Amino acid sequence: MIISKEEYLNNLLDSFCKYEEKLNILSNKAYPSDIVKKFIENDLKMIITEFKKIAHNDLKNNDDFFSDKTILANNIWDQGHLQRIAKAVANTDFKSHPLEIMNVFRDLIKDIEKNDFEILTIPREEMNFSFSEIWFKLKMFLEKELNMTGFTVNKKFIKLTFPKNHKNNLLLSGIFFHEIGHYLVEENNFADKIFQKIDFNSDDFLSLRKCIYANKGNQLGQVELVNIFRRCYLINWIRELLSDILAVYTVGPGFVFSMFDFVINSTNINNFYNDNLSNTCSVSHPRLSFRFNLMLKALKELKIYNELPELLKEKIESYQDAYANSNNQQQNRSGNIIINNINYTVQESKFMFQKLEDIINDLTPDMLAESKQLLGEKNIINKNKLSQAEKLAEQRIKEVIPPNELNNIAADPIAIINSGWYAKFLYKNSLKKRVGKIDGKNGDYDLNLLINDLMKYSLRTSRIQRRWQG
Amino acid sequence: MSIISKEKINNLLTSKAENSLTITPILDNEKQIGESTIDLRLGTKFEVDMRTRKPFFDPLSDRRPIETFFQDTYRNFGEKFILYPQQLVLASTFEYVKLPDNLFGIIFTRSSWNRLGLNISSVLQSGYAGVINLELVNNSSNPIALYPGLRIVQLILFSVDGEEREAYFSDSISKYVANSDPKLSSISEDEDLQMLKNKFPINS
Repeated sequence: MIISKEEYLNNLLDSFCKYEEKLNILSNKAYPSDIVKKFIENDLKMIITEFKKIAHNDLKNNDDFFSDKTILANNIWDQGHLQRIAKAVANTDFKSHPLEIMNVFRDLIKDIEKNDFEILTIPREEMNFSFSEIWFKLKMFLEKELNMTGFTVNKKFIKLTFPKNHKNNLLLSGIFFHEIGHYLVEENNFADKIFQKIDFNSDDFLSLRKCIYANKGNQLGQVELVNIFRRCYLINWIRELLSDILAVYTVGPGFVFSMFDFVINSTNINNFYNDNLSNTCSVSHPRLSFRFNLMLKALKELKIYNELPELLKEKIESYQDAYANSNNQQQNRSGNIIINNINYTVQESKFMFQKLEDIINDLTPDMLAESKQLLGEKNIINKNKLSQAEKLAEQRIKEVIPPNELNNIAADPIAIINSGWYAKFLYKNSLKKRVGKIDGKNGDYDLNLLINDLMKYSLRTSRIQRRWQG
Repeated sequence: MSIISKEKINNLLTSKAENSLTITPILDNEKQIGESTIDLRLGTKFEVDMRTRKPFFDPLSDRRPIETFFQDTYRNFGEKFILYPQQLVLASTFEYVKLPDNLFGIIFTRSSWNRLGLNISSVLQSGYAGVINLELVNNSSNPIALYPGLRIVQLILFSVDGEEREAYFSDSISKYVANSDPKLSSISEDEDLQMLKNKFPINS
């Protein structure tokens, strides 16, 4: 060994002590929820104290070998689980907490998930959203492998990152619903369940063999094919599409318009002018026109599409057409994937992507039906919520009144979110006339700001009103 | 000019006519609407003034925006907010108010809060739309616990005689339009400041 066991352990203990110092600082911060403080003071400190004890005991021990416990603690440390949790906690605070929309998610997840949870919101500079659980699996691992008991926070910690500049942009909140979709897909092994429904003996599936080369003369049978697509392309696409369906089913057109806003935001001006909108497939995502098509199917399946005002339907169809007719060319690449020590080369091609879309098309009825089941009827958007959204936009936002209630009854949060989009598309001109401040000097910025302010207020007060009236 | 009575307030609130009175949400109509006043509740967001390194706020200087002198915070309904003696805190009503063009309003602290050293008074222009900003200052020598959701101010409405005027929120120079949170002072946007800068430069 180049360095001694003692040197290694001293180094490890030093890292643990620095982490403990960081926890002491973090425990003095104010958080949107008291649970976070409790989590740092009790659970994270308990883990690091235990890790320090393990390393210290090993240091006193004259054996040449590390103890099993030290190896486990070291592996957890090396994998960065604890550091990631501390980083998430350090980056969450009152100021960056998008309170109003978080309460909508909180109520939604509480209704679907059995486990208790806490959401840590983390603002980021870049235009990126993500949603993941960071604590529960580690907790279960520590309980099982290191016999650690006495954790006080027995709930999931969901890390939600979002673009800092869009903290109060409720018009973009549909994207959050897509990210919650990812979380639900992950927590319920939803993508795997759908993947199992593929007919692995079908010609479509077996024809994918043409796109894969097994290096060093290894066999490429049905089993290998299933293993490959369980790791890339198909499984990822299913994940993405399920998240889209879950978002459409909860927030309806509100998600579709957020998505349009989001993709336009990331489109280069040259691509926009040359009808070259990015509509390509990748290992992680299907092409956008395929996604839009599925979103439209989901809206139609809910029988709410025809309820939309003509202008909104035209908007959806024009986006779908623009992407479907894009001149954007697919760059076909090849990539390697190693499964059971065998290296496979996947050659992307128009043929392969077409087959993948055909396979997914066959799965669509199952994806739609099971998404419905997962959400439960109460959490699925329906004609009533949309009709409420339409009234809220016309009777309230258009009159510069927040869409928080109708006839003294607190409005539904999903109706509130959709009412913002209705108002933006249908009443832009009347709002401009009514509110002199929206003079167009800043484009739609002032209009969006006004609508977002009214929606934010409404989400906050309608929740209180519902509780008061309940 | 006359004070609007309970009956008329209720008629205006239930009227379907465009440009009528809106106060939303009224959680308890019976308690909140009095003979000639409307009780409004304390909202959930607060802007608390802070001592900073800079000795003072200067509306003529844009080097240190007013936002840096305040910290925002939130309390749920029923959750305590402590207001310390002589501390300035900007809060707002829970209710959003939109006045028609022929009414203007005055708000006062409810007398029970007045007696604890909390005095608020403000004028609402015709056509105003938004939550009402409440400049909270504790004039007593003891801290006061405030709770969002409590009725804190009363609104008195007056009719305005004369020809129809442009609604406050349609006036593009209005500084406070359709606010949904407590709004910090927009004194820096005052047009007189530009006049002072241009006509009376300090080094002339």
